[in-house]
Amino acid sequence: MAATEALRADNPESIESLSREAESLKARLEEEKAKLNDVDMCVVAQRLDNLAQFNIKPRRVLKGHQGKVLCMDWSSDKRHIVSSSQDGKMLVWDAFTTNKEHAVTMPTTWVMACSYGPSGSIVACGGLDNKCTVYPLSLEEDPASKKKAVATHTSYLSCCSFTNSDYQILTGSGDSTCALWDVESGQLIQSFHGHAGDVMSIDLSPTETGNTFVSGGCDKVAMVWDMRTGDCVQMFEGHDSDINSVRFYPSGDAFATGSDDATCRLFDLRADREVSCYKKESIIFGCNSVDFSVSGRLLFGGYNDYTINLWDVLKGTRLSILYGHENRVSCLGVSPDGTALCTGSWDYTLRVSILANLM
Amino acid sequence: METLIQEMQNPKTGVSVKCQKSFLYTIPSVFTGVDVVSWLKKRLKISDSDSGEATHLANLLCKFGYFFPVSDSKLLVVKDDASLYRFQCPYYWPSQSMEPDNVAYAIHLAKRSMRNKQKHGLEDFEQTALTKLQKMLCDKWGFICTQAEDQVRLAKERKRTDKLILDSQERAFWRIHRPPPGQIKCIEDGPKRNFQPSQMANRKRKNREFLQKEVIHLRNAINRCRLKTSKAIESYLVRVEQYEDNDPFLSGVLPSNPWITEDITFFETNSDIIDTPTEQRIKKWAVSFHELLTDPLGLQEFENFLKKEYSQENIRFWAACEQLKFCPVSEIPGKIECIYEEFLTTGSPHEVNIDSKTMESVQLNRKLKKPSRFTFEAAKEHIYTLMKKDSYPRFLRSEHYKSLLANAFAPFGKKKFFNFGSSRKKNNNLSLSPQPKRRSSEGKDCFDSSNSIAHHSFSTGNLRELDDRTVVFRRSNGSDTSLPRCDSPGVVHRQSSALSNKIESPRRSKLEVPKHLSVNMCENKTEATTCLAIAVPSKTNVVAPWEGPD
Repeated sequence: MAATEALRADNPESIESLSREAESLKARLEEEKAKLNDVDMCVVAQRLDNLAQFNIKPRRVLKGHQGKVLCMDWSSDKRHIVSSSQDGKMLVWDAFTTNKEHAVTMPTTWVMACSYGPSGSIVACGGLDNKCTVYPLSLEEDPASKKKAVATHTSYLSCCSFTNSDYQILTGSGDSTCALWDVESGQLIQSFHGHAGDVMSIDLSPTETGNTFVSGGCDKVAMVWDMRTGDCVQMFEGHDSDINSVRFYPSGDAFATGSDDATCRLFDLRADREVSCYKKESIIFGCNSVDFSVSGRLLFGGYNDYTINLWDVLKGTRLSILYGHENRVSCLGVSPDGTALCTGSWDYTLRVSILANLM
Repeated sequence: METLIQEMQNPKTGVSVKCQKSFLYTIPSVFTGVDVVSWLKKRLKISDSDSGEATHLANLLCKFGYFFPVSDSKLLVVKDDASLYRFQCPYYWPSQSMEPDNVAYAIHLAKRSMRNKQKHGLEDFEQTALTKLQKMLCDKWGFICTQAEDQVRLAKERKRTDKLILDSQERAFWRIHRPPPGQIKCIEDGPKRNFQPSQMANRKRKNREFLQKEVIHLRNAINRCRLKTSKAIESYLVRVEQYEDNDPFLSGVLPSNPWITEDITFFETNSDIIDTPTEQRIKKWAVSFHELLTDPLGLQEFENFLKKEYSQENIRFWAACEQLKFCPVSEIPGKIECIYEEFLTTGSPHEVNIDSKTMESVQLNRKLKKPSRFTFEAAKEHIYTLMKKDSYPRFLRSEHYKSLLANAFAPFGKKKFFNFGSSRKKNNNLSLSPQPKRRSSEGKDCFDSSNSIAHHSFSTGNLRELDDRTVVFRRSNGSDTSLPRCDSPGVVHRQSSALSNKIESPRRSKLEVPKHLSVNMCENKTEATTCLAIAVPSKTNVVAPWEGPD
């Protein structure tokens, strides 16, 4: 009895002291960071030429989903696309010819995650079934015949991504964790605990070592993880609402986030802080998805107000507002060679577009 | 969003709401499309160039049910003209998160069916919905009817204008939540979040493990070394400048963007493995070592190059380690053995050179019970930096690379003529990238500049050294005929160029020796040999790696 009472007395105390310590450390950290924050991004970027206005030109409309398109991913061959929708279908497209090459019906609605393997011969998807299932693609057989459930979470699967090979897959889930899985055996290789809310998006680092990834979640925090140890290496706060999307800058030194607070932000890993915030008073709807152009000069954001906003990453200004969809833009991705932009929307369609210079 | 609407409704600063007189009767509390669009423009500082944005936004607000068109109940569209709109009452706003259930809808429909046909008549789809609901909710139908009757009675007691407004608001609400067939329902949320905000806060506050982790994390974070923001930003600018021409959105592609012209030459010429890669692609390899290795073709060419140098084991070791890192769990132990035998066992044909310390860590990792995919991480990093610092620059300078570049496929078409300026810029840009800069252009640059500067700085610097030495000479020799001449300029110049001397000294060193000799020789033949002995080591030591004899 005495022991449990002592424990009870001890516990709140230690939690209190811990949170106090955390607060003081946070304050110190802010101080340290403030010391090195010497210049604003747009000031430095003034010396760059202004970019011309862009206009978006849809080149392909991919129709075939019977529900809201929720996620898409480009294949490494630069012309195939996999997309998943609310009605439980996953389609593999040859976006160039707009042909559907494979169709898979999932035993669930809201397939919120899908991803192409680096070899282009395997796809993975998952959603409200809390699972991540991989489908090897072949022309002869129905991909569903060879499907394999790899990952199981305790809540919905919000995002997934193959690592540099077809043999490992990284998943993020509504149960607030991310996990790395062995595709062959379905074994858990590493799990990543730390988020307080649903994980909404993950992205792998494109750097030389490639051992880190970033995740963003409903706890408004973006975290950078070490895949080897499972530790959170860096933590970035700043958003006022759920982070819906994270994407690494092509050099791997920074990443962008898109959030329900209607802003996109750029966080630098080396400077360990937010270096730019992309917002405008007239943008009042949340951002669902972000991606960079290959040079890292342009940032695309897909918003709930049916538009795509195009930002100049360095100057922090909005270059263009791009219309096209008739409902929320839920996902977007720049093709690996940077020639085209694919957007998926709740209006059941995907569009492959290019940018045209308004001279 | 809601605050914006509240602001909009503010009687003074908001959109002007007034009674419109039209034809025979007045329409109470409405506003025009022009008003709302211009108000949004002003409030949100939307420039005239994106005037479509304000209309778009107004449309969305309308679709979300914050206001609705008065006359037209079919289409929820805001037009930038004199058409009339009315605010929805806050009770019906989406933020109230009222679950519109079938019972409420049935009451609404039943109510309308009981009233004046002409004014409140049901549309076809609503009629079918009503009969359907009647079947579905037959057990509750009595309740629904009495509710509807009550509400109709209540409505009759109200003032005429109030009644009108309330009716229209209610109708607009159902118009959004039960849209006519064929129209998209726009108020819909994704699946519910697993953790509600309050839960998240609780998890953060109450969870001890969480806090402990956070404290540890924060401690580490404080000691992390950070870059100045300016430095970080500078690196973005450099990167963007380097890659600008590789970005199809910014500078187009050659021969043409397949998505525009339907011509797939671009896809074909840029596929992973191809005989003659494009010039642009080869140039990209010079930007960074990482860029070379991530391109399968680049990796292949680099291996070919190393083969000629008899050091391809390095790149093969690196590739094998990369494979190990991402291979299936079942293959790990076998792969580790393979790699160890092929590359790290003494005497094996492809042994890589690593220092004993790295070897120790590898051995330590191998002894772990559970084979880890990161067994060779230290060795891999060692080899990687070795290749980056040594083989990679040599690759870029090699004949192999030059011949690749010369034989590269240059896609040209109509575009090339238009893009002539930009393609010239491309050449400049890519040669300005850090690695080749050091090798070729800057190498020459600094050589040239050091030549010109060196003469100057060297003359004074040399004099200073000479100066010190001559003091010694003077004591020993006593032959001080040339000394005053040397001394005075030395003193004068020393102050002005002391700084530049320090910076330039490594570059100067090469040129130092002959001058020394000449000065010394004319001074005293016997001292010349000792002077040379002093000068020579300084030459070999201070020489910068890139200035050594190639």
